[in-house]
Amino acid sequence: MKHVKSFILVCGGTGCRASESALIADDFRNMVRQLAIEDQTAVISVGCFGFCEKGPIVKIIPDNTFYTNVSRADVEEILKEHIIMGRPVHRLLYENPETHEKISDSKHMDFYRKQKRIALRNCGFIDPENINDYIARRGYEALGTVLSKYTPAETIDIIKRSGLRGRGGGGFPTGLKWEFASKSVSNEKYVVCNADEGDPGAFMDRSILEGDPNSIIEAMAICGYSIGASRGLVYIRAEYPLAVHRLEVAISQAREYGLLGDAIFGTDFSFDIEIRYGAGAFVCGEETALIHSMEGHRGEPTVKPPFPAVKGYMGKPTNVNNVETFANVPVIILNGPEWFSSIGTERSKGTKVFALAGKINNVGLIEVPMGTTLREVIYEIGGGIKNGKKFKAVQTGGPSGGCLTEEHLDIPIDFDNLLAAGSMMGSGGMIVMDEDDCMVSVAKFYLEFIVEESCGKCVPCRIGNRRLYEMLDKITKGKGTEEDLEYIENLSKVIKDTALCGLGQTSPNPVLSTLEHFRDEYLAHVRDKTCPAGKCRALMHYVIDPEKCVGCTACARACPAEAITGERKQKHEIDQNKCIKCGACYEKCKFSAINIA
Amino acid sequence: MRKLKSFEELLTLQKSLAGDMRIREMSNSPDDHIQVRVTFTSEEKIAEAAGIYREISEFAETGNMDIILTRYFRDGENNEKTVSIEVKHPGNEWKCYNIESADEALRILEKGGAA
Repeated sequence: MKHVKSFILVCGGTGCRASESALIADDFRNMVRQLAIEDQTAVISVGCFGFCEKGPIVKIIPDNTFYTNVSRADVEEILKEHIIMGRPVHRLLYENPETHEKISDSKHMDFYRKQKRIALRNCGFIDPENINDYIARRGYEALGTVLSKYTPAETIDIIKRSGLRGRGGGGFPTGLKWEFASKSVSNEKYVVCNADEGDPGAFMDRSILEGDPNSIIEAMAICGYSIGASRGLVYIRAEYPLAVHRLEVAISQAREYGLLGDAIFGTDFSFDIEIRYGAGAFVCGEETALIHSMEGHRGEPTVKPPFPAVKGYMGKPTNVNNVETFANVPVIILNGPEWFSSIGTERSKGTKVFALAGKINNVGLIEVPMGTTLREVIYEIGGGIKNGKKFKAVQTGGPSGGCLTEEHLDIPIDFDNLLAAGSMMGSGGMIVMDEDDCMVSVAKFYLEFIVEESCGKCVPCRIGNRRLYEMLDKITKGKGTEEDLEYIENLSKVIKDTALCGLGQTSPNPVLSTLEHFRDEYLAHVRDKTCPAGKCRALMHYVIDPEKCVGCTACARACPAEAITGERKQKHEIDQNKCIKCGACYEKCKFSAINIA
Repeated sequence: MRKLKSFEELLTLQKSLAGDMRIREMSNSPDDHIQVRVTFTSEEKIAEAAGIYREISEFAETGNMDIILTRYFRDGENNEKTVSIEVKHPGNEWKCYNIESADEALRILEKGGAA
């Protein structure tokens, strides 16, 4: 059998596809044919490489050359110069922003150097629509090993000993969860994969499903064997069409090989998977709400107990794990629980995938060992703050998490440390903020999201969060008082104590953490009626510096409210009563004569 | 696709698929493998270099030899129009061998790059 010697791996993740990576891959295929080099060159659309800031990304194997910001116009040059002539295209190589050195191999880039890819091991490496690629990477070997070597109890024991904790937010020990479901007696049980990724800016689960769907199928089957279930359900949001498509392809190919279906590997274990589509409700990430949604009811949570392990989907014992949790399972079986538990911290084992976003140079998807500090993530992997601005805060855990400050940067990231610092791991969203961000507005943004997404079942979440939002809105409009801060704090604590589900109970976290760490900013809003970051429009005043104004009239012409007056070559003035604070004058002035007060 | 009736069948399939994947996997840790570069110093030598590259590739396949094989153009490094092979074994430095033919390149590789 002849093997090709060069591979052109084109990122086929949603981010890069938005920049035509699917067309780039097609162009590569067509031109490889035209140049008659198909026998030595293969073009493969792979899952996300993670470095979304620099996409579309193309990687050439075997010399591991990493091309960034590739466009369709670059295809011919890459093929003729690199593949045929052996001359890398220097202008497309990644440039270190500090040293301006061109780096060819991704392993030498700061973005990848400190990463350890376990859950993302196959993303950016295999063709997610070809099960053979997955099998060639020891795919389904863990399932075969479990079915031929271990009893269900022994399999659960392996997962327990690995120390794997749920990556969806709660961090509950996975092995223990499996054990609860296995001990429930029933004629039918279910395995559910929670792919309802709802945190703003988070795309960890989507990327895993887009890049390595078979790992989830294999893990669900292993879970099914362990707890005694023969049916699996993936609850995925319909807004993830690419992930849905790749999952459908993977399920169909797994069935063809008999890796799903009856008598898998000739054993008496049968297992199959169905897909259920979510409509994008944040609350359906909560497992009881998710189950109701799958049953065709409104996506509302219920009080636990009974836990889904006892009474879940259709009233039957159900084990729910999220995508990233499942992605770790096959590797744990293959490499052993000791290997997995040797990575990470005392109480948080393995790695964690984060979607790094916000005011950071290297936006993208990263996977780091637990115990890596926030400073390493933000400054080394993330490349620091955009435009040389000053770091202000990092929001972890999505709307249920909190904002951490400079003083928390050296905290090793793990479930317990983040919780102790007033935030949480959540599912892995990490949004970095700089000096230009107003923390009151940030808290208001998350509250607005929660108000919009609250299922409305319990009063504290439905009404309490709306009241909180109104108070924050009032403060950002310069109408707040110091008493309001006390009120907000008390109401937040009441919501935490009384809301029905985990989402409601954690919803005031962004408010409480910003109140704790950025109280000065809140006080500036309520006492001085100013927004130190200059973000709250109602508290801003644009004023013209008469020393700098040259009377060019550019600002007056840009003003949509005709609030600026002044003769040509004379100092101009802004009528504050007419000003709508749109900032058009500020952006237009070439002489920095307009200040925000 | 045919149904896999046993775990052993999966392992057999895995083995048969391993070839292409092996190159991708090796490229993740190049320093752990033998790396061979077919280097040429003039565009006139492309065809010759491509022929040698192909023969080394086939030689490696038939001999089940794990090598990371690439082509490399050394632009403007000297005025001679040459094709050479550069070989690097794990833990060692790159060694360069000027060659006249593919046979010569294969002999070097057969001797473990120590000719």
